[in-house]
Parts: sequence; structure tokens; C-alpha cells
Amino acid sequence: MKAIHGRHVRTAALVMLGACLAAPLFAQAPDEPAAPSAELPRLPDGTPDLQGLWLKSTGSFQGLFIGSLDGTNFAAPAGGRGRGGGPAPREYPYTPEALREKEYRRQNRYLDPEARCHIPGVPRALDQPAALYPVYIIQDENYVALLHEAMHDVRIIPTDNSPHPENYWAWNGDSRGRWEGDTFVVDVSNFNGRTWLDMEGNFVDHNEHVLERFTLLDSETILYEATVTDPTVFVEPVEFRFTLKRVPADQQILEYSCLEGERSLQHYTEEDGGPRERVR
Amino acid sequence: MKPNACTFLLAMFAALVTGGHALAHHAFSAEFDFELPVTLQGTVAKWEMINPHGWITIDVTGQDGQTIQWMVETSNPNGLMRLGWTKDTLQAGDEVTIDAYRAKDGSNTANAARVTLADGRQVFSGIAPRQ
Repeated sequence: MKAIHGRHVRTAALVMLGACLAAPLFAQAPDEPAAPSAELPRLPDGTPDLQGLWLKSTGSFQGLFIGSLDGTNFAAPAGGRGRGGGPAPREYPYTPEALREKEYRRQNRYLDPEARCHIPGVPRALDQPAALYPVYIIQDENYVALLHEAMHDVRIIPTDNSPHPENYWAWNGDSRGRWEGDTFVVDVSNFNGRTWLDMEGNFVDHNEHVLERFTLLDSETILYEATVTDPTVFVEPVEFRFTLKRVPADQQILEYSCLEGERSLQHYTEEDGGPRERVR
Repeated sequence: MKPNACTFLLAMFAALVTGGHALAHHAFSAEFDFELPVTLQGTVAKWEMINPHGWITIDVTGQDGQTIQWMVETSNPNGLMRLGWTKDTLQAGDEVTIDAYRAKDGSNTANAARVTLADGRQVFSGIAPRQ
């Protein structure tokens, strides 16, 4: 019965076990970026070529699971969060009022816009905790476009450092880019104030401002850095920093029609602000 | 296997097994309960490989002869596709056993950890099963 399909899954698992776990694939942790290389791939205009399919790296995955990759014999490492040992929840420097709002949202995850298939916003679109959805970057001398698989989210960023428009507010705000040496710097403003930073109720409002830096470290790695300021939410800037790793050329961005199979919210219970009663 | 391909597949797998983040689109713990594991043995009525989560509809017949239909959520189908799943991995009529976690609302809804096919082969489906 369906031997070929189960074999595909098992084969992928075994190949990963044999070829991946023995290799120092993530020796390059996000906290220790390599120095930019003079041998970077470049466009004819001389700017680093960011084009291709990229996936957020969460550092070494070798500590995230134990056992076979076909779904058996997993165990969470000590100190991990939940099964698989994900990262600990991040603490943000909220104002007292914003902290109360964050706690309210944490208790009402039913309201999370991404759970409702809305655009994640910036930097959440790239800072997907599961590192599950790649982003496709297309670039010429005038624009850098980010095509996110998740939510079919698109940002087309002019590279001329032009001013933000007036009277425009959006989930992703408005992005204006410029090249500073080999780093693509993006100023993002004009947010609609409705995005969350994660599934845990962390949030920003309409005063959010993001300064992003995309630095091609080598042909396989982009260092992503973002400084988020929001004076009505945070008492100090919030920094994001991680790497994007190039996805093999045989992969492609896939369709993500989020509303088609969204059947989760109807089961949320009152514990998360949902419509259903919690049944013990 | 090229190192970058390895990186990608490993990242995909790690993403799919990373605890409460495994669903990516919404918080696992808002809908399901790790403290409510359930094993469903029955017949596949439908396998929907759709975003943001796949759904397995399975008819489970109890010892009393009554058949109850369950809806079992999988992880994101794009991630599963990159690990080898297809829309034909499960077909109507297949006899399967699904290790899953029940929804908090008490409905016949669950999240699949592991699907065991009739011949005993097990395929991972999104959440690491409890030992």
C-alpha cells in the first residue's frame, strides 16, 4: 500500500541521518558570522546578488531531536521548551502599559493575526520560529523583492532610498532600501499597528519602525539584522539577528493558500480567548 | 548529498518537530493538549493536503460497533511535501493507526504525531510523539 510514498519519507529521513548529523553543517551559528567575502556573487551593477531561495537558520539543529527521523524515539533535550527543545520565550522591554497589553494578548491567542492568515508583518515574516517557510529574493538595480512562501506575503523594496509615502499604512508598512557598501539597508515605516511579533502575544503598534540590514556573508548565507523601535510599546530598541541559508536549487517556493484549510481557530478554547469550552 | 541540500532538509525536519512551534501558523497549545494523547485505528476517509495544515479524515469503529469520524490535523503540507509526502500518501480506504493529541475542546479532532500504515511502516506527520 502506497509503498513508494512511505519509502520517500523514510528515505529522506535516513539520508538526513547519514549525511547531515555527521557533518558540521551549522558550525556557522548566527552569533558568529563570518567576515564578508570579496568573492561574493554580484549583479552587473556591483551589488551583492541576494537572489535565490532562502530559509531562516536556527543554528545547530543537532540538539533539537534524538533518535530516528521517521517519527519514532524522539526525546526533548534537557532545558528545551516542549518536545524538540525549541528556544525559550523571548522577553521584550515593554512599557508597563504595553506589558499589560501583551499579557492580555497572551491570554487571547485567538486574536493572533497570523492564525487568521493575515500577513505576519516585519520582522515576523522572516522570523518564523519554525523556520519552515522559505523566502524567494529577486533583485535588480532598482528593486529587491521578498516573496515569502507563508501567506503569499510580498515586499517590493525600492533601492533608491526614496521617502515613505504619506497617508499610507499597511501590515508590512512601507519599505525603502539603499545599499551601504555590501549591505542592503531597509527602512520600514507606515505600519498599520495590527501585527504581532510571535504566537505568544508579543506585539508592536502603529509607531513601529524597523531598520533592516541584509548582508550576504557568502554565496550560501545572508546575515539578517533588524532594529525595531516603537516608543509607545518598548522602552528601548529591540534587536533581531539571525542568518538565512540558501535552499538547494531543486527546491521551489510553493503555494500557500492559507484560508483553504484553516480549521484551527474554531477549536480554540476560552483559555486562549476562543469560542469553545475547555473539556478536561 | 550536497551540504546545502542537507541543511535544508534538516532544517525542514527540525522545523516540523520543534514542539509548540511545529504548526508554525498557529500555536499548538491553543488547540491541542500534549496531555491528551490518543491512538486512532481506522479507515482513511479523506486526505487533504492543503494549507495551512493537512487534514486526515478517519473513520474509527469502536468495540461497540459504532463508527466515529475524526478529523486529524497534520503539519504544514509544504513541509511534509519536502519530506516526501504527496497527496497519494494516504488514500480513502487505507487502514492506518494515528498517534495523535486531542483537541482541548473535546471534539473528535486531533493533531497527528505519527501515522502507521497497514504494513507497519511509520511516517512522521508533524509533531514528535510522546514516548
